[in-house]
Amino acid sequence: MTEPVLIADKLNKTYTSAAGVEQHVLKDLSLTVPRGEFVAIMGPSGSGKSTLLNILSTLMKPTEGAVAINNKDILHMTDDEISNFRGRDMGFIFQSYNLIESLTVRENIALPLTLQKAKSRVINDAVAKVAALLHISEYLDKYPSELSGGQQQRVGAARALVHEPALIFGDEPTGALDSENAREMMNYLTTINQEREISIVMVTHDPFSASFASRILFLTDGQITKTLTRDDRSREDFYNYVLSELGNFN
Amino acid sequence: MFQIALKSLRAKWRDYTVLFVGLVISAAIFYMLSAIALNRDFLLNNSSIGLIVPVFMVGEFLLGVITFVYLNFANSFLLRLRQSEYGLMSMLGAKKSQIGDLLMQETLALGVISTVIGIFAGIGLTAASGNFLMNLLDTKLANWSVFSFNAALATLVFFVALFFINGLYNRGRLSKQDTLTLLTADKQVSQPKRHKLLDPLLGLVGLGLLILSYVMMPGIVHLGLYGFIVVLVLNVWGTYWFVSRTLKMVTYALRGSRFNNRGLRSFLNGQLLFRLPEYQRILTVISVMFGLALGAMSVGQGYYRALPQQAQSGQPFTAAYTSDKISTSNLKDITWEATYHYSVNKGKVYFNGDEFNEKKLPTVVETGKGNDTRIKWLTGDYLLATPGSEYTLTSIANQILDKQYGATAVVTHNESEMAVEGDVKSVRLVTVKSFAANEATLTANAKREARLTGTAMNHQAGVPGMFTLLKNVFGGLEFMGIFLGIAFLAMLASTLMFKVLSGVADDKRRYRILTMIGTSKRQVTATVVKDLGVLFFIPLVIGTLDVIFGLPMFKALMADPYVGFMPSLIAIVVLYVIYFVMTVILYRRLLK
Repeated sequence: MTEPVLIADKLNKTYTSAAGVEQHVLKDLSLTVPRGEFVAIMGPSGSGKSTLLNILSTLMKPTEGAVAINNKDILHMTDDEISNFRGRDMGFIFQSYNLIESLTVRENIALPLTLQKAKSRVINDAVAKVAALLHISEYLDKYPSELSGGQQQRVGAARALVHEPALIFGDEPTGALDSENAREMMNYLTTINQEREISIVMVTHDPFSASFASRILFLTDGQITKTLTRDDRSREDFYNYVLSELGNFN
Repeated sequence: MFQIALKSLRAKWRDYTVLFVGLVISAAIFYMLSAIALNRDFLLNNSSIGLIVPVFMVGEFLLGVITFVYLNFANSFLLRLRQSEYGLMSMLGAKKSQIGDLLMQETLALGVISTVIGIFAGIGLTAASGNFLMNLLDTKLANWSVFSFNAALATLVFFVALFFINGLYNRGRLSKQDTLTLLTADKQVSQPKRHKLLDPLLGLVGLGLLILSYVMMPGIVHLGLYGFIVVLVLNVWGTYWFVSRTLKMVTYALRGSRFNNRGLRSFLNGQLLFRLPEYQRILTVISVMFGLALGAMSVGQGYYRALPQQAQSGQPFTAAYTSDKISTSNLKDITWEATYHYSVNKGKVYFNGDEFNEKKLPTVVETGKGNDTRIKWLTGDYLLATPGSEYTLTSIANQILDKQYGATAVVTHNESEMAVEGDVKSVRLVTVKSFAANEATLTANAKREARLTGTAMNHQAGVPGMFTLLKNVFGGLEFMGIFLGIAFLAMLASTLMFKVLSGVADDKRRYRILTMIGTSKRQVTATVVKDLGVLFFIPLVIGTLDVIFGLPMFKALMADPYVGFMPSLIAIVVLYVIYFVMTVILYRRLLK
């Protein structure tokens, strides 16, 4: 069996409202992602998928449970260790792109490497390589505001990929794109996943985007209530399978 | 509509607090300066310079200019905070005129409330800073008043008028924008344009204008009012072009360089480049204000610090004691000492000419080379033979009769002529090598002389008496210089501080992205320090240069215009750094 890149064990997350009412968002949720796997997480609003993604990606701490990425316990790291870890082992792709508008595309993509104080030559090579992969080489000296939504999201993906992390997290990466750009983006993510063996964990509400993954987890009330695996199905077949299962699920 | 406005206020309370506190502080500082500038009696009774009233009026005008700039950007900030809500209201069917009225009401309400609170804060600030400075300078100033109805009225009228004008302007701007632009206002960013030919050209022209203004400054007295205006315009315009274009060229040159490919330098560079269009005007105004703050303090302190030297320069001896209970044995390095006798009759003091033949009397005479002086030793025969020469004894006679001026000294031929006029008493004159080395002892002796003989310290002959007199005259000027300097500094630093803090919402998103992709808290803080450091550093450098080149303007009034520069620079930099640290701490908190 392939070595796991992410292990989440018995995660619980409880929010307490100002009135003192407790809400259990995640309940004993466990999850393992082997290296090179593409996992999509689906579920209705309030099912806990965003909370799960935030915990897995070190942005939030669970009330109980453990998370290890690349055999490192990410819940007991200092702030500096978490920052280093994010900068080296993880990439993020956000629904709203989250590019820094005061930086050019080249500078945005290079940020994770400049933060690690990589050499100029290494940075330039890596940016050129990832820009070529995502077909954004011609926009490197432009500002994000000069690009379309699809182009901006590709820049976001390039930034998540440039430092070759073990794991990329996606928070509705196609949520702000039209169907054409969404398909293109998912094709890029699939290429990244297959060619570079980078694991991807993506939250989405869109069955089409989810059908590019090799495994789909359905969350209801903070628990994984269904798992679909692609196995030998084609992408189109998997999509139809997901749609039919979604009908049953709802 | 009112409910939407209220909800927006609740949602953005941090931004509104920053805006509100900034407005209160600016109104308080404006009141503080007005309380002095509009108090003619105070100014005229505490300064030897007749120009002090116009000087303060110019100060008030300049503070008005920066207040105008500050209120202008504060109201733009208010409009920016509200734009997307106005877009929403427009989407829901509100007419442009209705939204315009709402904006006007909000602007005026914010203006009136913050100004009224600011006036009360100003009264407190005036009392606190005035008492603090008077204690610090060990001086009591006549006609000093903390509450001034005129100042309160001027502040209220000025601020409400500015808010009204700004409200009208914002209303006009709002009516020109379509609903979609308003709705997406939060997401729009301004981008600086690069002009490869114009930027270096204007940068050089700016530097040229700045240098020209510095060259013209020392001779400004001969140029008159128009010359002053020309120098001011050249300086402001030069600063604007030089700072904005140089900063733009440097940031562009660094972009894409190896230097940029390290840590958060590219981010810092991008921050500065994008701040430029918004900051270039305000940095220019703040640089000029910094120069004025430092200049006012340097001149005020300069007068004060020159006093010991000034007090010594016209004195033929260091001190005179009529009480025999005062010992001179505790004075260091006595170079000359003599005891003379006198008698008093009908408001005249009689001296023995024979005694001066035995122990010559020192007096100060001009050498004829500029303002240089030397000591001349007079005999009794000379004093008797030269009518008018007895003036040198007048200061001693003033001390004996406890007068500021106007006592008459008469030199008699011998002791018996003197004794006829009244009881014979004695006065001891002493000269020490260094006043500074003996200042504490001489002051204590002068106080003792005052207590034992009833002669006020400023009526005493010699250096301590003259020093006390000059301190009374120029102490007010130092107070005003420091007060004006602090008012300018507080206003300019507050303006910069609140300008920075009001933009934190835009920066917050950028710093959040940085954190998500692996930037540590320490790196964020270091970048914030550098980012804001550049903004604070520019006015410090330009303003200091303005003062270094501008102080020779006061050569006609002061022997050494730079004497108060270093202590003033240290005081201003310390206060400025405190503002900077406060800004960084608040900014860092708002980023979380």
